[in-house]
Parts: sequence; C-alpha cells; structure tokens
Amino acid sequence: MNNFPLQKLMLTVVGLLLLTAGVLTVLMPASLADGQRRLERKRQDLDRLAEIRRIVNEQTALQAVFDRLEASQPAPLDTILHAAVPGLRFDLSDLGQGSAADGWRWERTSLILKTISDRDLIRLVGALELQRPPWKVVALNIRGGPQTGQVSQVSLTVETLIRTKP
Amino acid sequence: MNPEILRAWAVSRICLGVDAGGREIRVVRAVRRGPWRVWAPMELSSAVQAAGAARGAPAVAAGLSPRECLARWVEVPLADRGKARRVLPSLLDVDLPFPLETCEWGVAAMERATPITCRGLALAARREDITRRIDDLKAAGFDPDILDSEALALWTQARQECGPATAWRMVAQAGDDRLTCVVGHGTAWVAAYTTLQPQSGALVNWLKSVLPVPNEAVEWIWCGSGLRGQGGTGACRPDLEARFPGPSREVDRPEYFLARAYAFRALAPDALPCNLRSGVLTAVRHQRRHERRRLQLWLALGVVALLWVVLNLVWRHEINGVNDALQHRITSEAGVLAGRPLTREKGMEVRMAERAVQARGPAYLPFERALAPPILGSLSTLLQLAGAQSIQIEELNLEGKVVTLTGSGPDWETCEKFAQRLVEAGYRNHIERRDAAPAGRVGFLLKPEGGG
Repeated sequence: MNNFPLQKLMLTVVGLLLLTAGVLTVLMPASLADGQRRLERKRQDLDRLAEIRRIVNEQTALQAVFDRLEASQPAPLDTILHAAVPGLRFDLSDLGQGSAADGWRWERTSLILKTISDRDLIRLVGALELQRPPWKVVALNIRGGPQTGQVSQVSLTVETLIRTKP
Repeated sequence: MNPEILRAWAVSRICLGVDAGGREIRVVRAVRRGPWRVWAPMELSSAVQAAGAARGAPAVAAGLSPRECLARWVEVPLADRGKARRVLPSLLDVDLPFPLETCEWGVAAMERATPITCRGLALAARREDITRRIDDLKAAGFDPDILDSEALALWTQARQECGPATAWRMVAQAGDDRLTCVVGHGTAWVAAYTTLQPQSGALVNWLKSVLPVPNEAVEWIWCGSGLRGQGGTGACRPDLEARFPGPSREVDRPEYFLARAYAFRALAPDALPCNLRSGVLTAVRHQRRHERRRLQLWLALGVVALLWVVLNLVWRHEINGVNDALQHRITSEAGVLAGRPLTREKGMEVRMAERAVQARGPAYLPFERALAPPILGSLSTLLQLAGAQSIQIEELNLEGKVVTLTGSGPDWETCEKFAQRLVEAGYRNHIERRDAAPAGRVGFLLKPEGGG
C-alpha cells in the first residue's frame, strides 16, 4: 500500500504521455501534409530563384564579353564610312543615348546614304559591324532605283556601346 | 466477492505443479518456451527449496478435489453472456449447499445454450476448505499461487494429451486413497465425482446417472499413482470397464498426470481457467507479482508513449530544421539577386528578386542586341537572291531577321521562286501580289509571317 501514491503518479504520467502521443498521432497526418506543402513551396521558390540566377548569369556573361574588350568605344562613324567607301556622301543624326548596365552606355545614330551600290553597302555594313565594340545595324531601309540592282537611298540605324568607367 | 482469476502464465515462465491429494506429494516443474511447454518430475526437497527461494521463485499451482471444490453448469435464462455472468452468482447461491458469501467462486466458461439462454461453468469452494488446503500445502513447504480445480485440470489435460473425445469420455484419476472420475463429451466437461471407496457401487450409480443412455459407448483414460500395485484405487478398473465397455488407455507417467495438469494449466491461458485462491485468500507473493507485472506493463506502455512523443518532436524539429535551412537559402539567394538584404520581406523573396532582375533587364538589352547575329549576312543573302532572280527592289526594311520588301519581278512565277528561296534561307515571309508595278513587270509585297 505504501507504493500506492507512486503508482498513482506513475499512472498519471503514463496516462498524460499516452494522451500526448494520441493527440500527436491524431494531428500527425495534417502536420505531415502541412510540412510537405511548406517544403514543396520552398523547393519551388528555390527552383524559381535558380531560374532567375540563370538569367542574371546570362546577363553578366553578356556584359563580360564587352568588359574584356580593350577599346572603350568604336572608331567614329565618319572615319569608318570614309575608310570603307571613299568619297561616300552621308548624313548622320544622333538618335539618343542611355545608360546600359554598370559602367556602360548606349548611343544610337541614324545614317542616310545616297547613291551607293549593293557591293559598297555590304562592305560598309561589314566595316561597321566588325568594330569592337561594334556599330550594330539595328534597322536598315533601302529604296531601290528604277533599274534592277540600283539603290537610290539607304537609311541605317546603328547602335554602339561605350564604356563610361575605366 | 471478487471472482478474480489470477493465473501464472502472465507473470511467470516456470511453474511447479503440486499434487498433494494423496499420501505422497508429487511435484513437476513445467517451463513455458513460447508456445511450447515442457515438464519434468522434481524431488520434493528440491521443489520445496525452489518454491521458497527469496528471488525468482517459480509460481506454484495445486488443486482442490471435487469434494472441496464444487463445479457445475448453471443455466441462466439470459441470451447476453455478460449479463448472464452478472446474474450467475444469484443462481449459484440457490444451488449451493452453503452460502456463497462463505466461498470463493469463479466462472470458468460461459456459453450460449439456446438462443435465449446461456450456461456457465461455475466453481465454488468454501473458504475454510481452501484455507485448510493452503495450510496443508504450507506445511509441506509450498505456498500456492494457484488453487485449481482437480476436476477441470484432469479434463483439460486429458484433452491436451489424448485429443478431444470422440464419444463419452471418462477420465479416471486413481489416487493413493481415492478415485476421481471426470465425465465429458466431445470437448465439453460434464461432471466430476470423487470417492474413497471406488468398489462401493456409488461410483457406478453416479456414472449411470450422468450417462444419458445406458450402455452407451465410452472411452476410458486412466491416470494416477493408484494404477500400480495391488489393492490401490485402480483395482476397480476391470469392473468399471466391464460395466461401461469402451476403448481404454493409460496416459504417459500416470502418477504425475495431475501435477503436470496443474502446472500446464497455470502456464497457458487454456480453456476453463480457474484459481480459487482469490479475493482475500490471494497469495501475497502472487498479488505482488501481478502488481509488479501490471506496473511493468504500464511502464512499457509509458516508454512506448514517451518514445512516440520524442519521435514526433524530433520529427517536427527535423522538418522545421529543413524548412529553416531552405528559408535561409531562399533569403540569402534572393538577397544576392535583388542586391539588398531581404530579411524583412519573408515570403516575398522570390517576387522581390524577380522585380529587381526585371528592373535591371533593359540595361542588358544593348549587350544582347550587340551580340545578335550581324545583319550583314541577311543583307547580302537578300541582295544576292534579288539579283539572281532579276527582282527589282522598291523598298526593303530589314530588322534582324524580319524583312518587309516591296518590289517587282519579270513574272509571278519568278516572284514566288524568290519568296521560296527566302523561306529556304530562314526568313518567315509570305508573298502577296500587288497591282502597282512598272510596265511589263509583276508587283509583289513580301511581309513577315503573321505581320499585318
């Protein structure tokens, strides 16, 4: 009889443990599903961040190509034009500029050429695009002459990148 | 009265079966190993020593003869077994030659007799008889944990060793100075009788009263120490077998049959369980064993519950740990991508990183444009194809791979061929006929696929 209070205490403790175990067991499916849902959401977030990271890496890689160039800007347009097609008549007009990624800006220029042959036009475009950084022809408009193979006017929109920081 | 039946099988693996019904005490030691039980006879002195050991003493099972312990089927006019069990004491009280209050009693079996009645195999023994038997056993050096019914023990052990009865079965225990006869049919115990004078004719009369049809085929099973030697209680065997003819057999080691019946019944939860040393007479040691066993069971249950709780908590902690680690990775990665710490924007990290990258996107477009395929290739292809097909270009717009061309050719077939060549060169254009054209030529308009 002496150990009755001890037994009672033990039974109470065991009962409480069983009750707790029971409650945890009842709650387990719901919390398991909730835990899995949370982990799944986190994994999806990480996948999406990896996708964003891939885009950022691509952007950084693009810039790195230009960062490695020695020249901070291409040769002036008129110099290239005269060198490619001596005696060429042209009109240049500035279309604007803006900032690009860190340490760079872009500059766009309109170029109107008159009386140029197909061959000269190809040579000229080649000379512009071979610059490093290139004068990229982003748009080209040709108006033909009355005869086959004749060109009366060519409009070019060219864009280049200029490094602003050493 | 509490008809508590305390058996040894739940608390012990070893049991001493004590047959103290005759001049000589016979003891067997039975051991339970899983579902198997084995036994061996034991010297009385060793048995007394083992039974009295302070620690690890085996359980001791003995029995009460049919003279001391009444066993009978009681019909209860109730269909429900639980209710019948509760009502049975009142009916038993009427049936007994002494008040039930002076007895220890129990119900060894309760079964449905008819669709509306049950019958219970009730056992009752007067406390003074039980006490006397306990005192006798104590004097011999045994304090029994279990006091079984000899009548039930003989029947169940015979069934255990010889299989169920195919007809009426007589189990005869020829003791040193008395003969006990148990009658049953199939698997059912029917009645028991014990006599000091087996030759007197009273036993024959009793058997005649028990058997429903005279001269019915019976099966004899003989056991007990009285089968050996001259003048023992087994001397009546030829006469009884002549009066009630049928196959007869002796069990193996018949003198230990009853002792091993007590021990085996105590070690296994077989049918017809019985312990009349219950209530106030319960052996202190046995009671303590049960209490300890119950405590151990509760403790085991508690440990299992505790493990379960701990497992649950550990599992939750692990899940939270993984969750926190993932959250930390998300916060730090998104912070790097966004270019600033995002500790306050919990749950919005991915969106913030997306916004930051989208905001920076236009700054990289000039780089993308600068590294796009040169327009030179497109231009020279176009001009070459036009020259080869005698196509006159009126106006040509070229932005990357998007071409819009207004021109004319010598005939429509040539214009279509020119358009086909462009498609083969990778331009997705379609050609439309145009009315306005120089004299003698066919005008056309080349538009990008899907364009207006």
